[in-house]
Amino acid sequence: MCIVGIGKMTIQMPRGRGGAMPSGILGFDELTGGGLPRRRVTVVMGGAGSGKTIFGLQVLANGALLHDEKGLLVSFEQSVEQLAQDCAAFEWASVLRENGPVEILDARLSQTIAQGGDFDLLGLLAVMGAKLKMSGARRLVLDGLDVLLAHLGSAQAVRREVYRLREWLDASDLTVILTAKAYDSVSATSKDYDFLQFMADCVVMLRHTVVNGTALRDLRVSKLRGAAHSANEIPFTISKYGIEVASGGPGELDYPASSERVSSGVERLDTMLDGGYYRGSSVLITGAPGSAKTTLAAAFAQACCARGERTIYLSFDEGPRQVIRNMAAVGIDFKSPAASGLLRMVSLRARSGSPEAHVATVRALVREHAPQNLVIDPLSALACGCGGELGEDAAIQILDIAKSRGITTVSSSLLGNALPLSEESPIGISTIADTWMHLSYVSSGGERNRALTIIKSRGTAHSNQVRELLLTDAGIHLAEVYTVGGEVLMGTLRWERENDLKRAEEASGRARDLREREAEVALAEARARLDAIARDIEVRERDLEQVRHERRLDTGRSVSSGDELRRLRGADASEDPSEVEAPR
Amino acid sequence: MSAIEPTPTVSPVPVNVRLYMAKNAPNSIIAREELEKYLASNPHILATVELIDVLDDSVRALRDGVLVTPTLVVSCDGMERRVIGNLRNAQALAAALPGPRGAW
Repeated sequence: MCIVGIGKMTIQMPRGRGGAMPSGILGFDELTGGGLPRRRVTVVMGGAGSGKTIFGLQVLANGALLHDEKGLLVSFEQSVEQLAQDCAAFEWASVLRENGPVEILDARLSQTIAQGGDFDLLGLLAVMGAKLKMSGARRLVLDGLDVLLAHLGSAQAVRREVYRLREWLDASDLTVILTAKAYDSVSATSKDYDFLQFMADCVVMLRHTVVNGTALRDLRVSKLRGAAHSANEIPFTISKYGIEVASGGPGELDYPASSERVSSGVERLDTMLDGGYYRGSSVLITGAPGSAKTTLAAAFAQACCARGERTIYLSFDEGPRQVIRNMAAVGIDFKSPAASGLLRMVSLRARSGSPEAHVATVRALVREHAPQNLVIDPLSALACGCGGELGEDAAIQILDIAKSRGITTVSSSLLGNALPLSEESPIGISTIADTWMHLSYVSSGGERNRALTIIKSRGTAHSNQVRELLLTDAGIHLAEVYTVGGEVLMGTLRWERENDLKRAEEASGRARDLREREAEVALAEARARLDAIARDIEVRERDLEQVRHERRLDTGRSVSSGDELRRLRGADASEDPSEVEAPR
Repeated sequence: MSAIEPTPTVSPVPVNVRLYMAKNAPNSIIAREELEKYLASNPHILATVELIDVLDDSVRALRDGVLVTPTLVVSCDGMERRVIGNLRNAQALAAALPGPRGAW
């Protein structure tokens, strides 16, 4: 099966006659460069349940709702009541009503009617003309024309009436969709009605197949006159909005690019990423089973809700209540934001639909919840059961939906191969992810430990270091790792290494404390000695001063005594007192 | 000598016959001819025949649920039978109209 790559499908070509008429079918108008050929005939062929009638009705409904164009469906196979019931679940079903913008003409031949020979469709053309005139319809769907044609009996008669119909339609100025069954599963065409393709200006083949138990739908525009087109098989799905064809949006990418950072929910990871993820970017977390991909993605969702941002948490094969319980075990509270409606938790079975159906689900969720953030766990579930190409295509579509709306997306991707340490993502979206983190197991010392590596992060100076990821009651903790002889130490070895370092640090601290105390004592002793010396100096100074004082006193007394002696002896005033013998 | 039993008389059966046709389309011409021929050879059918050209009266054809031409609609005793096609299938035409004994 050939799947056209996203971004390669858009074709814009000029059209003849009336140009292109938008079908309003998501993805189809991009595929055909504008829609169906206006005022021309489009043949939609496919097997039972391939979506032919829905295709026709949806084009009519979109014409009424989006372009104010009335429509008429002429049903050769189902009653009006059956069609109304079959379409009741579609959003646009309300337009299908009597005297409404889209009417249904019951054109079934009764089972009790007798066939009395060859007939022609002139009567049909007459009544259709009358009905169209009464309703003012500009879009016409002939649903199951092959049922009526089968009554004609010969291939020649069928061909004659089909060409009669073609001429009438050409003259009518209507845009027509003609549905017919196809029985050949290989070429998706019916030998009986092959010529329908030649008379049509546009031929759309619808196919409904089962691959590995998964129902897949694809669509192929095998003919489109006046416009180059891709004839590849494109997946589509049928949701409550009707048919949605896989589309990568416009060929030229023009996503918003915010410079704002949003927290990953793990503080240390934010640091490693220079502030967190870029808002509106796509983040991919790959890893082996049990490597904490879910927890890391859930941490982001919790952080989003803590900021008051609307978030969708889409999980595959794990119910919301189970997710809430499991995350509570690692300190992540989903119960409160889920109860408040801030967090929309949706769980799907991976095999419950085709990848395209899951894309439609995500698209519908985004429409309804208008989230700022999206978590998908795991994105690799899209590839479950139907092969990587379809899953990859669906994953790319989902990321495109998110990026075009500025939604920050964190997706996990399971590694299902036999290489648990491999960093190869099974869904090859790693190339379009802005940030890619890989969780691996590192085995050493008889145990396995989780390691986180940032493989890439566009526009971000990020850490290239491996961190050990620890799950605790309080959430995720990223621990430093040690390398010894080129080997990374994790788990117990890291713990032992941390303890060794801690003990060495403590011993070093103790020695330093001792030295500090010894130095303080020595200093105190020195200061004490210094104080004692100072005091001694002071004492000695005082002693010296005292001695000098006393000397001065003694000298004074001696002078006075000499003077007195000379006076008593009657000596000359010039006699030296020192020569006078002191009295005994 | 046995008495000769009288031949049972068949009372005419009144029916309303509408033939929806498309002007001079070959099948419509054939159907008209086949109908006239059949009624001529079955005098017990007291038919009121109405020829309706769907190209002229398409609204009536729409209302009467006519899809293909020619279409023969036979009404009798509140019941209705339809035959599509040019009526060359005599069995189909005979089944739609009252039989010789008036059975329908």
